[in-house]
Order: sequence, then structure tokens, then C-alpha cells
Amino acid sequence: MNSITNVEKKIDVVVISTEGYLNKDLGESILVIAKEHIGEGFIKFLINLKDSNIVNSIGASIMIELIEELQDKDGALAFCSLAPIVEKTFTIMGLTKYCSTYESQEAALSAMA
Amino acid sequence: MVSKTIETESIEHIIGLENKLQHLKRSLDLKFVALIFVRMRTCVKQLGGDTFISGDTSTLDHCCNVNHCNVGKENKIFTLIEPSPRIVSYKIYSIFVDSLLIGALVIDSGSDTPLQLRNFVSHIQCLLIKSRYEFKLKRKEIDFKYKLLEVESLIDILGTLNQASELNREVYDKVLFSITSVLNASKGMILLKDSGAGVFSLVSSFNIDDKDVSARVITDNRGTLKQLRENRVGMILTDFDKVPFIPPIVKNALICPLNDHYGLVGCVILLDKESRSGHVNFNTRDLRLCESLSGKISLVHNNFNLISSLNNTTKLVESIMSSVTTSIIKINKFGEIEYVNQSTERLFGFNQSAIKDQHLAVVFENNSNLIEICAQVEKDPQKHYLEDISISDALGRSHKVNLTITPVIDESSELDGFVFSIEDLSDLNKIKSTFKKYVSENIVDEVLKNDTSLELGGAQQKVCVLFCDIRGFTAMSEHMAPHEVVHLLNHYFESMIEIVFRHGGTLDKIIGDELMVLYGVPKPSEDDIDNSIKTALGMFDALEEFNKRFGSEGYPRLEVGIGINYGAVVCGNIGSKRQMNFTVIGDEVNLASRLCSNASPGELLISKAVFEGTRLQSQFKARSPLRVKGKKKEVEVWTSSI
Repeated sequence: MNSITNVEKKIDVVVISTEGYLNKDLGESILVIAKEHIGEGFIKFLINLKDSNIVNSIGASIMIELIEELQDKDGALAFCSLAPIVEKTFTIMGLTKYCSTYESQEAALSAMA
Repeated sequence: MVSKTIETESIEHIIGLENKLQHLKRSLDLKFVALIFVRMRTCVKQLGGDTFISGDTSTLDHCCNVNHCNVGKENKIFTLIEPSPRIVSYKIYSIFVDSLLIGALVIDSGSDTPLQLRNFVSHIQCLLIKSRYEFKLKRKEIDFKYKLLEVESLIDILGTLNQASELNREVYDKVLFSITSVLNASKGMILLKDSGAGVFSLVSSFNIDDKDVSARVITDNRGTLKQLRENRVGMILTDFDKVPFIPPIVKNALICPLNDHYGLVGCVILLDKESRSGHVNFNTRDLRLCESLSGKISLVHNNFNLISSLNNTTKLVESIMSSVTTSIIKINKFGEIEYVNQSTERLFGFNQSAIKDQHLAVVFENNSNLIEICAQVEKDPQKHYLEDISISDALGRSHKVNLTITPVIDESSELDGFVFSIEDLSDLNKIKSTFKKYVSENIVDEVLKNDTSLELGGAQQKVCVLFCDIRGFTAMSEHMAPHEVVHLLNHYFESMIEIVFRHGGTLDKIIGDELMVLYGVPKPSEDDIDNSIKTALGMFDALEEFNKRFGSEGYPRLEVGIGINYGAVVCGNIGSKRQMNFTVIGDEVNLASRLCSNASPGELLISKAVFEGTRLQSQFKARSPLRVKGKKKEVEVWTSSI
């Protein structure tokens, strides 16, 4: 129900796609997958939230943790396909100050290349 | 001395407590230096400090609030620092923030630079105070973000509810998702009560398997929902035995009612609040927010129900108003037309949309009597009823109407307008006049007055029965063209029936050239017998006039014989529900018919009962008794023949 549906590498960007509620559980799953890839040397991540149209502040704060982690490594985190309510929550929680958001995965990959 | 002065300016720029300590040690040539803390753990961590003594507060205070101690004196400080074998005693400089002991700077007792050390302690105090403010500020900032999220969620929820044209699953889903996320719940659901069965069913769920809930019969007769119905306020649930339909959860749950004026109509349930460190309990602040949101859902739910009920009522009223033949006009307190039904359009020839909101003085320009009546009702706000008044329609045609004006009184007992109900009598009059061509006026009036007069069935009643038959008409008609027969008969019956109705007779039927007339039905009168005789005599007179007129046109002379009897007959509606005749049957009817058959042209034969019952006996003389079919004895008969 709330899960990571796909993880793929697009050159140097790791794209993590999700579905369902971006809450503590899903946030932590993303964090675990991201850390694994950071261990492999990846520092650019794109979270595709096309199928996650609801988020809570815990999920958002875990994303902030991931941003901090990537900043330490001069990496970058970006989001794409955000539902308006998710984008609004990210903005309020301050995420959008530290990462970029894109309308689509293609737009995000093109900008991150 | 100079060499042992702390470079205070530079120490402020050194980041991290450990670095500051090393700088202090080097600057003052100390053998040992350490910072121990007992409070403000978060602020200390923020500054990079990590040496804490845990334990009961008084013991900790005792450890740090001393100036000097020796190793081995069981000061807890030495469980954290590793004493140097060359140092036997230490000096301790306590660190206070707002008079509260926070920790201590520990140095070897051989150092003698109290001023510089106190400056260092002051610097640490300042850093802690600053850190504390920064921490508080950060907390406030997070709180502010959460508040902002709550406000935005409220705006979203209100927007969703306000824009909804109906409360369907999609709307409830949006609302539930917003509530769930803003309160960091893991799962949630909204249940609504079916107004008929009284059973609660799931209208929205989030992260819950619908089957778990849908399979259960949920009512508010017991457990938590009963409590919710009785108390009408939200609750933090901890006893899940009372809520068997809630799926397994880790912590507690929130349940908030959806109420209307009559009671519980549903509820919002949120389960397992999330935090960064795991699930936590919902608190009263969460409950307050959830209650506020469920209150808003209740309000919108009730509004939709009210609108739906109002629409249904409006449709019903509209349907009733369009089906009634009475013209209804609602006029508001400003004298403007608020509503008219279709009958009003038909009666006045108005177009509803054209006269709506127009002042009655304009609309009823040609009906000053209506305007005057309104003025009267305004002065005396009571129901007024006016019978048989004239009104003019848009084309200037006059209509007879019965008018009722009812004042509309509002909740504050003020006049809020009027309702005109206008009964158009022209239709009724048209029906009456058409009906009377076919049925006796007496029967028409009785039917219009009394619904039960149209029921099938009969009753025994004393009635006077008159038969009038044209003598030799069949043979006469054989020599005439059909249209001449019809022409002659129509005018004959018109003359005769006029006499019948003039004397209150009820035309029972026309059988060929024969008339059957009743007196005493539907209502008996003491003049029934005399009226029947007057009718018969009037018929003879009218026939004379008729023969004069039609004789001059070449028609043959008509002669009639009339028979009248009075007695108990069975009378009533006889036939089927679709077609019935008001008539009479029985021996006395047959006798009247036999009398008619036996009457000579221009003769009226009456029975004994008629003779004995009339005040006109002087006009009759006895005739020889008649033997008639169906009677064993001869019948006494009186004749009026001149």
C-alpha cells in the first residue's frame, strides 16, 4: 500500500518511485535505499512521487534528513510529479529551500544531468 | 602573567567545546581541564559537548557545586574523567544559567588563574544561553511549521467541503487524507450512519482494509459509539475491546463524532500517531483539532441534508401547486409577487417569470379590488374570504372567483406578506352547465356538494315518479325525415325538461319519446307530489304552445299521456364504477309507467297515493279502476283530463 515501487539508475541519478502515504514507514524505506546507494557512491537522487499524493510531516522530516546527508557529500535530492498538497507540505516544512521539484521525471533527469 | 591570559576574542571564534578546552589548556598551561554537564543536554550537544553525569539531581548538584575535591572522594565526576596519576586534587568552577547549576569546569588544583577561568566559565554560560534561545527558536519554528500545516490543511478541507456539490466518497476521501496527514496518523476512516437501518458503514478509509470494517454490523447501541452518541464529543481511545471494528493498532486512537440536530450521524477515526522515533499517543491537542474538523464535516453534512430536504420539499410543493386548480399567489411584505403557480398563469394569462418580483399594484392594475383587499388585510392581518367576486385577466376577460387571502406571519409575529388562493368559478360553472344538459340539476348539485353521492349503491326512499309519453309518435315519425324527427324531438324535450326543472324535478332518463322524471330525489320535500302534478299540468300547457309553433311549420300535432305514482322505491347509483345512472327501481315505478301507458292523449292519471298526498285534489276526479300487469287487484286511479 505504502511502498517503494521502483528503484532505477539513470546514469548517475538514482530514481526512487513510490506509492501511497509518504509517512514514517515509507520515508524510512526511502532513507534505507538511498543510504545503500550512497554507500555505492551515488550522490544524486530523484524521488518520483507520482503515486504518492499524501504526505505527513514525519515523512517530510525524513526527507530533510536525507537532504542533510546528501549535502554533506555534495550530493543532491530532487522530487518530481508532486501532488499540489504534497508540494504545499514540502514548502511549509522547508524542503523546497534545499532541493528542486520538477513536474515530471523526464524534466528532472534532464535538469540533473 | 601575559603568557597565561586567555585570548578571549579568539576563543569565541573557536568552534566546539572540545577545541575551546584545548585552547584554554594551552593558553593557561593547565595540566588538566574538562567540562562536565548535568543539565541542558540538548544545548550542550548543540555546542559539541558530550560529557554528562546522569543520576538524581541533588547528587549531581553536589558533585559540581564544590570548589575543590580530591580524587577518590567518590565524586561522580571521576566516573567520567580519567584522573591523572600526578594530580591528587582538582578545582571545580560551577557553571550556572539562570541560577541553575548546569555543570562545571574541572581543572587541576595546581593552576592559579581564577580570573581567566571565570571568564571562560562566563563564555560557556553565554554559549549555553545562546544555544538555549536558538533551540527554543528552532522549536518555535517547527511548531510554527506544524501550525502552518494545520492551517493549510484546514483551508484545504474547508475548500474541499465548500466546493463539493455533493458529499460522495471522493469528498470524504480528500477530507480524511488531509486530516490523517495533518495529525500524522497512520490510518483513518470515516463511518456514516444509515438513517434507515441505523447501521454505520464505511464511507472512506485510509491504510485500512475495508473488508475488516465492512463485514461487521456497527451500531451505536453499545460500546464506544454509544458513548459518542451520548456525550457528542470526541475521545482518545485506549480500550479497544469496546471498538471491535478498529483494526489492530500499536498505540491509541482518536474518535470524533459527526453530529446533527438529532444525534450521532457518523464519526471520524484516526489510528496510531507517527513520530520520528515510532508511534506515539494522540494528545488532547490532536483531539481538539480533530474535533474541530469533524465539526466542520458535520456542518457541511447537515447543510447537504437540509438542502436535499429543502429541494424535496420544494419539488413536492411545486408538484402540489402545479396540480391544484386553485390559483396561488404569494406576495411578500413589500407587496411584490414572490410566487405564482400554473393555475394563476392560466387564470390571469400571466407569464410567471414576467410578473415575479413585480409589485402587485402593477400586476393587478386592472384588479383594483385585489389591491384594496390587500390593504385591508395589511390593516387587519386575518384570513379574509370573499365569494363570487369578479377579476379580470390579462386579456380583459372577466372571471368569477372565490378568493381567500391569508396573511403570512413571520417568527417575530410581523406580517411577512400574503397568500392569495383564488378558486376560478368559471370552470365549475361550465362543468355545471354542461353536466346539467345531461343530468338533472338536482343531481349535479348533489354530486358537487357530496362526494359519497357518486358511490354505487341504493336506499329505499319515498319518491314521486312521473312518466310522459308522446302518443302515436312511432307511427308519426315513419312519415317524417330523420332530421325532422330529431329536430322535433329536441325542441319538444327542451320545452318539457324546462318545465321539469322549473318544478324541481330530477330527469331520470329519456327513453325514446318518453320522459321519466323523479321528485323527492336526491332530497325529499313535502312538495314533491304537488310539484310532479304542477309539472304534468305545465307540460300540457307548454305542449299547446309547442304545437302552435311547430304546427305553423308543418309539423304534426303532438299529444302526450302522463302517469304519476308515489311510493317507496329503491333509489341510488346503478351501473358500474365507470358508468352509472342515478335512478329508481321497484313496483311503484312500474305502476307509474302503467298509468302513463293507460293515459289517453292529454290525460294525466295519478295513483291513490298521489291523490291522497296532493293539495290539488280538486283538479282530479276518480276514474274507473285499472287492471295493470303485475297487480292482482285493480288499481284506483284519478284523472285530470279536462
